[in-house]
Amino acid sequence: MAIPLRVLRPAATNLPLDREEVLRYLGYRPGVTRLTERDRWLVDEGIRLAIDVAAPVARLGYCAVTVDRQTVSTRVPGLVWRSRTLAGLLRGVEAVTVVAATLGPGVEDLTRRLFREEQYALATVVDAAGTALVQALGRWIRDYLQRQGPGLHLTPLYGPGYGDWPVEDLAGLLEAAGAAAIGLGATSAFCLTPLKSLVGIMGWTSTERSWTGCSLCSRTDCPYREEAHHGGKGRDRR
Amino acid sequence: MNLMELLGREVLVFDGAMGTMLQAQGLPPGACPDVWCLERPDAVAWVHRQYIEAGAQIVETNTFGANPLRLSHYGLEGKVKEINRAAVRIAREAAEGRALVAGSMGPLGALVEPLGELSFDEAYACFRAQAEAFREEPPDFIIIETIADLNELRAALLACKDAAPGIKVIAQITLDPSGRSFTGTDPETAGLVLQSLGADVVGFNCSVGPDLLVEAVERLARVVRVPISVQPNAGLPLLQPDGRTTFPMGPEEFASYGPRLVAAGASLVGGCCGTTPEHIRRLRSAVDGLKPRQQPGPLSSTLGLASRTRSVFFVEENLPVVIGERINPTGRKLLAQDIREGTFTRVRQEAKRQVAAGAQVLDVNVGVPLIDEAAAMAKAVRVVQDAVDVPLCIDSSGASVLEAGLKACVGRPLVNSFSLEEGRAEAVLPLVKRYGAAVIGLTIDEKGIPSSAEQRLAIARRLVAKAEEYGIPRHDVVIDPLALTAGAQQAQARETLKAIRWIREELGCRTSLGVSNISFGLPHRPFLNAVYLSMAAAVGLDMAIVNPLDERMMDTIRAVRLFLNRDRNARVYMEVVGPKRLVHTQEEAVAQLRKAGALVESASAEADGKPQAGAGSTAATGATTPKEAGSAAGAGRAEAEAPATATGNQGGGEASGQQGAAQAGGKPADPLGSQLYQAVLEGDQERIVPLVELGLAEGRDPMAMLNEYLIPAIEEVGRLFGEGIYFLPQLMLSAGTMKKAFSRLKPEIQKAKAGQTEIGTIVLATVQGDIHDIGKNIVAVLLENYGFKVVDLGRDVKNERVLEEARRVGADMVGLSALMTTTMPQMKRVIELFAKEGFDCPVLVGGAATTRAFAEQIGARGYGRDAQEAVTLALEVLRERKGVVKR
Repeated sequence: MAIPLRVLRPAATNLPLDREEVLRYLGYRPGVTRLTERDRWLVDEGIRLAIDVAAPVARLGYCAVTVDRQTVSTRVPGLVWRSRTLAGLLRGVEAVTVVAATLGPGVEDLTRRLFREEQYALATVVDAAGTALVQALGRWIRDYLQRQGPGLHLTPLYGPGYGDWPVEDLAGLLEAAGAAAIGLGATSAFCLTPLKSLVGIMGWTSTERSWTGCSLCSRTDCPYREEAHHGGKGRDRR
Repeated sequence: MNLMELLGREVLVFDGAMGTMLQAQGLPPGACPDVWCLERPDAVAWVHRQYIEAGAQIVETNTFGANPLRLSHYGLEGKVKEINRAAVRIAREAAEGRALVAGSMGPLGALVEPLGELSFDEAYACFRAQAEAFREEPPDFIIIETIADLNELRAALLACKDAAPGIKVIAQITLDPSGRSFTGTDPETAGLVLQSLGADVVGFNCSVGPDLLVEAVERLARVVRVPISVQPNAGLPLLQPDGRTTFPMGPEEFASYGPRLVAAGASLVGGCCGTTPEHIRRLRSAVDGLKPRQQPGPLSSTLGLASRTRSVFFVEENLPVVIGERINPTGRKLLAQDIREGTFTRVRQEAKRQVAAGAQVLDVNVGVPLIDEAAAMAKAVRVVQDAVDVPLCIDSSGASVLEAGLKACVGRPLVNSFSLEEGRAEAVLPLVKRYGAAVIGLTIDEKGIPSSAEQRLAIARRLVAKAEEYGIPRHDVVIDPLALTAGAQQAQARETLKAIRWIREELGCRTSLGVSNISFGLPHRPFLNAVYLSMAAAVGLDMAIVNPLDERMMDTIRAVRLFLNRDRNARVYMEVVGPKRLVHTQEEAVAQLRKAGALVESASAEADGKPQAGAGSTAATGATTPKEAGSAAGAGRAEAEAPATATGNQGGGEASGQQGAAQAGGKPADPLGSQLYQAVLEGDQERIVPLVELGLAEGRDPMAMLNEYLIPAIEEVGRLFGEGIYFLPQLMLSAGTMKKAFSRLKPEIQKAKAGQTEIGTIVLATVQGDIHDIGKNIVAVLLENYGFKVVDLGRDVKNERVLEEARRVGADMVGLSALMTTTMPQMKRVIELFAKEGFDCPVLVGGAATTRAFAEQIGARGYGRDAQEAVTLALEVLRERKGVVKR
């Protein structure tokens, strides 16, 4: 199992963007919200503009780890993550891929410009499309990695600030991934810059485990929370 | 035992949940259950046997998600055929002749257009793939289940009928606790549409417990002829803190509802989520020996039409049913241009106006030369169904155009029309049958339009026979004996009336008439049309294709319903027509409007070329608003429900929320005010400034324009956003529109010193260390809409600067935004800094990571979950500080 350490630059048009995810970020409620042709156009145009200005780039680093009940130790000297939720997620995992990825500053620059030009509706769509595009970049990276390790399985992407994993570990993780080389950093308050970015790790396992929807996150009142499949309707039955 | 022969005559019992039973056998959560038909057939067979031994007489195959789309989530899309065929074999072998087998077909897991992204054709193809597998390995039934979207059900049912024509289909919709599906379909509408599309059994499953389905079954039983099935959950699902779903109803309680469901009309009962073999065992004993109701529902042979969310049955109180004729480009240049260019703005407006005026069904005709009429029809149907919720009448002379409309139409439409002209019936009737529509038959044969009532009746007999040849029952055929021009063929007017009576008496068919032809070429057409309509209604006319914006026509229909004892206690007549002063000429109407000071050139609303035939009086009155209580206008106060979003036509004439409010105050109509209101409501940034300019040119008070129309409009937008009817971009379009209007009015208000343009000052900032700002920017725009002076300090703003600026501008309040848990503590620090420096200023907080509890904990004045809530909060704080908020 050899995972290359490398920089990837997928075309934004190749990312598996989920249009329904964009709509969800915008507060669209299926069956309730009434969209006109104009609104559909607006959504499509916002997505098109976001894809136009996005410059996706990712840096991936492979790293062996040792996991006990509440710590994950890497082979990089000094790089130890103390988090019970992370350790739980990586139970049985012996290696992780560190992921640092960004769309670059294009989407947020465009969003601000549209706001200045009083194109508020389009600005909100571009912003939502950018967020969905980052998620799509995450999925694209996952698919890419999965092709590199046939027969193996990946845990969901998990990063500092999730669960009880201290957000302060972000700096070390960015460094481990060499994120600066792709223009990705963080403020002193650990905001990623550019904003439309993601940083985290995925563990490699030989056994498949299932995680559904947002079940790893404890924020049950989040308006964007995705229910586990079918919400107890269809799946439970058939 | 031949269980199939018992269908509808005895109560049959289905099995219960499959998924949880497989999980008990070791299926991991999140794994694909369907593939166990290949990998663990023993486990699937075990589940079937458990249910059969518990008394189930029908078992469902383990194929709920075995369609290409859902299997693709597991990389198994190539196994559709293999899985479905294996599933039927497993169920058959497990049943050993003791139970029937139903091939389960669940939802696709993606919403079908127009609610979602999946096209109707894609949905159809997915279901068809599964149905084809069932054709090769036939179960006794195909059961389409757990689907909440009527359009998705249509796709599934059509696919089954096409690909597996010999297999009986059970079609089950899933209802919310509200008694409707989550896309708004009620039980009657579901029953009407599914039965018309050819379902052999209709019913409900999943989502709710049996207690909530008894009434739904009763309602369904009123409208269907076919047997009813019902498979409830074991009560309403409860989400546990650990994310698991549990079902509260035990086997005994669950089974106790069995006899009630049967009494309500069900003849097939079973269980869905949370039910076990023990639930089924108890259910079987509870219904053992019970007989289902044999007689069809009282409305099952009554013509019914439906949209997605509403049905119209041709019962006494609805007659004559009004079909709005105005979506027809013949002779209407602007409407034709709207359709040709594909904008459909006027089509949408016409739909809304007609429904607000009382139309119960809308005719849709897009016959513009040299366009792709089929594509235009599909789009028009979608646009109209997006705007209003009444059933449609698909009107075209082209079969391909009719098919495009029928395919796009969610619900049960009427087709306009077929005749005995060569090839017409053969082209139209198969489409009517396939899409489960009803149809208008014109009394025209190979020789043309007959001259006598006897000949019309003879053609009507042949029309009905022809329809029945195609499997369309006579109660779904509406005969139009054709009103000809009395000015040219005077004797014909009476022949048509005779034909209406005879057709009704001899054939038992419904009748229809396009009324306005009768008066062509004669003076006072609206008067003649109304008189002829009342004569036709008196001899039994069931449906009139008219212009609903013609007030006289609509009032005549209300009067007819009164005299025929359909409008009980004259309730509608007294409410709608009673308060009016009726007029008989255009001149009289115009004089009355002038007197009321409310006349606005109607050309803006009716500039669409010449007035429609039969629309004479409307041309004078149609552009006024409904609050003109003393005039012949008043279309908006019709008995029909206004659209849920209260959006109206730009020309006025509808009962929007704002208009209704003004009416209650008894003030005269104000079409320009309505247009300002609508422009903000619809986010029409192009129109708003010209409208404001028009108001200013008329010498209107800028403050009144703001307070009476613009602010109520943006408040209504806020309400719609709060209810989820608008999503964020729509809110922002309206906000941008409001801002443009406000910017134009502001200098005028200042010039006139008519009042303050700003109601208060708020300082906004994203806190120190945080660089997110879109949420704060959205809040800023909305606050400006409501008249706040917003001092936006930007993002990553130091705490001291927030204090300094708030002091400098004399802020009434400060709004802080933070997206991250790491930056949220800065909010507390700002509040502490204010306290330390003795600066008394409320602080409002918001942002993705903040919560109400956090706001309370740090001593913030309040928390806004979204931009609209932030505005509400800011207004509340301002009232606290300043008393009444007034400009």
